[in-house]
Amino acid sequence: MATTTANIPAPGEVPHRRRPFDWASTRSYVGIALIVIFCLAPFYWMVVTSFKADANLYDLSRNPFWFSQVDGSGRPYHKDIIIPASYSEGPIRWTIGTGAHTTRFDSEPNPVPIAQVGDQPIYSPVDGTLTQVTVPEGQVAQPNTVVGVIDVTSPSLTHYRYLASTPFWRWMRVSLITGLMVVLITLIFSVPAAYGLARLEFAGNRGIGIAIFLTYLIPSTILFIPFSQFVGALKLDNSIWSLILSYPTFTIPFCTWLLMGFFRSVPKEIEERALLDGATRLQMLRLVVIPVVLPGILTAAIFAFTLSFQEYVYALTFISSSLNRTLPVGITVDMVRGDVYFWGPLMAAAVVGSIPVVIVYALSLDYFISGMTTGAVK
Amino acid sequence: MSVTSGVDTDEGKVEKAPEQSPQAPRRNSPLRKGEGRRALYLIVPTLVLLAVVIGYPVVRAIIMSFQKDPGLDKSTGLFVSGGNAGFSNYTHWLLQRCGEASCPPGTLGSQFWDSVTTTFFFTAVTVVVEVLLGMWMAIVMNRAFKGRGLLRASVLVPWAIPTAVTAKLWYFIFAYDGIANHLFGTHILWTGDQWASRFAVIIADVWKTTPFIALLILAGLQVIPADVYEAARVDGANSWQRFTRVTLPLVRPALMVAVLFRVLDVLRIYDLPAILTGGGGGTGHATTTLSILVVDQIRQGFNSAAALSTLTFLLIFLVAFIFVRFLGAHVVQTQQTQQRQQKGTV
Repeated sequence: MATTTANIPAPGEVPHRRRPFDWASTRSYVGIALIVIFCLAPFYWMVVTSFKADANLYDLSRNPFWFSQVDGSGRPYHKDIIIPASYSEGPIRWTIGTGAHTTRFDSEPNPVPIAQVGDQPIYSPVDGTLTQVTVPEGQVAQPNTVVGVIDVTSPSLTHYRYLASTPFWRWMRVSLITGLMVVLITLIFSVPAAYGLARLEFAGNRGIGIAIFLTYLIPSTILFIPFSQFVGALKLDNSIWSLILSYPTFTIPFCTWLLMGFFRSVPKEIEERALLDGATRLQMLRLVVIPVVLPGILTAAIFAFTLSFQEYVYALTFISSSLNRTLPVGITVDMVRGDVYFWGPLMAAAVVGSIPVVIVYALSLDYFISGMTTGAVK
Repeated sequence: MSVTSGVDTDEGKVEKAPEQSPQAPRRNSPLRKGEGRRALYLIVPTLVLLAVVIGYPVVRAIIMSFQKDPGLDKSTGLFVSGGNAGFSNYTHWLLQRCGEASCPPGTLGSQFWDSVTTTFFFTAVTVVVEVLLGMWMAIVMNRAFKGRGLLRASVLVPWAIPTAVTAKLWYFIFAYDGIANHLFGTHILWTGDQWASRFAVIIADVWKTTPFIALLILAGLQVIPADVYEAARVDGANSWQRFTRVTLPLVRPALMVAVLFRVLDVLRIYDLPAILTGGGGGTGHATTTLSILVVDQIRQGFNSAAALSTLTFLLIFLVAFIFVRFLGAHVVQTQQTQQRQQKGTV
């Protein structure tokens, strides 16, 4: 910890440089605050947006960083219930009373109508509370007329519930399965190769090391032209296998290179001692080397998972059916209708979609940072 | 987003050298017996796999780049079904020739040098900003004792969000009636105007990647022994001198590799500009990077796209070469080179 001593005056320090006000630690707190704001402000905006009702979402006139129940003029956000033009005239029958809560129909798998006009159902357009009934029970409701008013609830979970009516959870599954398979394939190939390159000496291992680094330089665009032809020829288009087989092209070189650093950080003497003590080479690997480089292997696994979870170009071109998409492609391509973005559901999807990687990091943060420290600088 | 570690610093080796056992006994150690053959067993499967899934496609793409795309020949107006193209796919991009004439404005061929400039502009600006900001963040994090957990957790958030989703988030922030214009009281077309859209891409990329660079630099800072600073302080170095004479040289190797990987990643950047500005921005190609151009070209002809991506590869290779050769980014270090270095210093 280099700066542990930074705030303690050194023996030789000139007295007049000491200030009565603890300037250094104040500056440090300001710095911490600025970093936290820098990192979290856009994320906060994403989270807060995902809970806002639509009416609130596009209205920045009140404090946009918090929820509001009322618009700029102080009226509650509300939505009129209008009888669709296609309906025929009929007596209205309310299934809920004023003050009752409603949920948005398209976020429900089996929406319950809030009223019936004849035998035609009327659904709630928003999450909210029925506050006003202009056409009372039993009276005739005309098409294109307002029969009641719903006050919008904000914050609400409506955008999250809406995700269930999209293939969101399928995209999530595709992304998770792809990520885990890619991690598995990557480790199977990278760990032995990195060990061989870092530890064992033979003619040309430096050349091979450089060659593996060079493969990382290859832009994915150069690979995906031939790939798309193979994928077509093997009838893998639209299949998750096209991704599982193409992602290792960038994860294996990268993780091999990463792991080489970790294996080199294990002192050779440990291995030699184990061998001299009569361990077989496999025992040595299993009992001595692997435990020491475990943070490194975990780091490589995290990288492989993150890289494949976030990959975009291959996933965009190889998968054309909206059901088999990965999460990033699904969110960016399918959550649009024409020119209209569903910002609420999109932000809800973004929040949920970030969770797997956040969990992976949170569980392995200490390993990860110690792994990076070892690999990077020792 | 994939800057990372595996860096070996010269300094690290120099410090470690005296602790390690002398060279002579190692020569006879059991670890050396039959190492070549064993190493081969470990490495060959990966090499074969990489040759199949990377080597072969690259060779194939290069072969394709010398063949004509089926379509109308722009000079004769006749349909060609393919055949040997010589270097015409390359001159198409480099000299912006479409057939016998130069490419008319608006075609992809005429955008090559613009997108090279755009790509390099993005690379230079983002990497400089990210390194400066990352250095400052790392120093703050290294000093912080209270709030360290909060710092570490928040720093990982931008990195954990998939890039495509980040791009959409910033698209929403930068919408004309969005929060950015509202907060600053401006009316900027962030995703449409030529320069505004470029800076939108840069801001989003800086947000996404700086924390990670900061973590890397932090890892470098944390292994600098305190007594090095102590010695500098005793010698009367002020904090700026301690930073430039002690901190900077000691984190430099880790920093160089981080910078190298960042540079290589930004040179290939696709998803952020493609999603944030629809691949165009401004005049229609203000944020068109080389990778976006390749993807656009693929819809018009594979072989010409193969030539373009080969050019991209050469460009990236050249940049990496310059970094490794002239700026001293040590990307690959084996036991042999380590030993060579140790011999030099012991």
